[in-house]
Amino acid sequence: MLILLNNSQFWKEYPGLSNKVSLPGHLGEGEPGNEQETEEQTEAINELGVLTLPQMMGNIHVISVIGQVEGHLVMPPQNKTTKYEHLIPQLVAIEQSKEIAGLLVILNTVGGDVEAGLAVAEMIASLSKPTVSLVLGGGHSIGVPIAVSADYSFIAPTATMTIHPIRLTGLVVGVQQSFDYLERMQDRVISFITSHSEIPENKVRELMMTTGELAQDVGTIVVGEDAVKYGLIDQVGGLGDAIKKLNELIEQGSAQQEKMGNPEHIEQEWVNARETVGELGLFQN
Amino acid sequence: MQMLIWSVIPNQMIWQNSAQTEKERAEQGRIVQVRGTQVLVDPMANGKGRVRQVLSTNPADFLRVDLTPGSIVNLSE
Repeated sequence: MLILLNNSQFWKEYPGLSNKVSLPGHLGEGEPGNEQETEEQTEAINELGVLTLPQMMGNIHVISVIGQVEGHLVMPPQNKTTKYEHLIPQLVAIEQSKEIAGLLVILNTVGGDVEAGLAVAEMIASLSKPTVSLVLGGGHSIGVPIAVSADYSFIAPTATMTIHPIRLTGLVVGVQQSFDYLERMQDRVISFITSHSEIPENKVRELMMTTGELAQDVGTIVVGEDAVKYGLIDQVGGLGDAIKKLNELIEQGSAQQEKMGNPEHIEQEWVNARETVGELGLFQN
Repeated sequence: MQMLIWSVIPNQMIWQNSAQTEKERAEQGRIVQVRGTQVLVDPMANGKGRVRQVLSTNPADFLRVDLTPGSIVNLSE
């Protein structure tokens, strides 16, 4: 008999496995409901050689954005990519699911397709459930709007974010219109960043156009604390902080919902409304 | 084809080996549903596939023993 500790506070015994361990006193009498479950698990061990893990009940889902953000074109195989067509249905499912209470977005991205990146950022920003983002390693270029799109954003102390001008790949006609187009695309990104974080627009442009920081480009590398100082990210922190904040946001949200759905609350609204009507002298004969 | 790409990786590095053969594309695997969870598998003979990656947002799915990368799943399920 083997005794295994499942993830709750209960010890479980698996009679199908034979090694002779004597049970600690209080474990001798199992709960009546447990027996069948134990049998099923024993069968799983015998038939498949696997042990089913106790189901983890979590209400937080995670999206990790790693490598290049891939959109319109499939990137060559040496690129590690996060694909638009994977992320969007997942975000829709998260929005619709009743079990999922919050979303954690973990970023370690080098940038990528501007349109796909902005699409993901807009989806996260418009999600009705609480969202928290965490930048680990790097959240460069188009990773910046994705990082700021969450309700609350964290950056690891060692993580960096590169802010530099957008580039146009493919055939570029050397006329004024090409540059105007690029400028407009850049404005799209900048307006998203400034409307979802505390950083002022002139600061983003200043960071973007700084020379002497990057070897092959203009722009700035913003490290952990600096990102918070500029108002780009809300707080320096790690995984623990991010989960804690997300749970706080979830609790706040459900408390508010309870208040809204509470009949007493609605009753009170009516009382207030009637008083207002009375004060204003409306509907008096 | 024109495209806006905004990345810290130099363009020439992103687009090297961009001429991909049909065979290489097939090696990129297939996305299937296995008991309600999306996974990326390398298809094998007789309707089975080897799990390469779990494509789920639920962290609990990454703890599932039957979906550990390298394990073999039935594609018909």
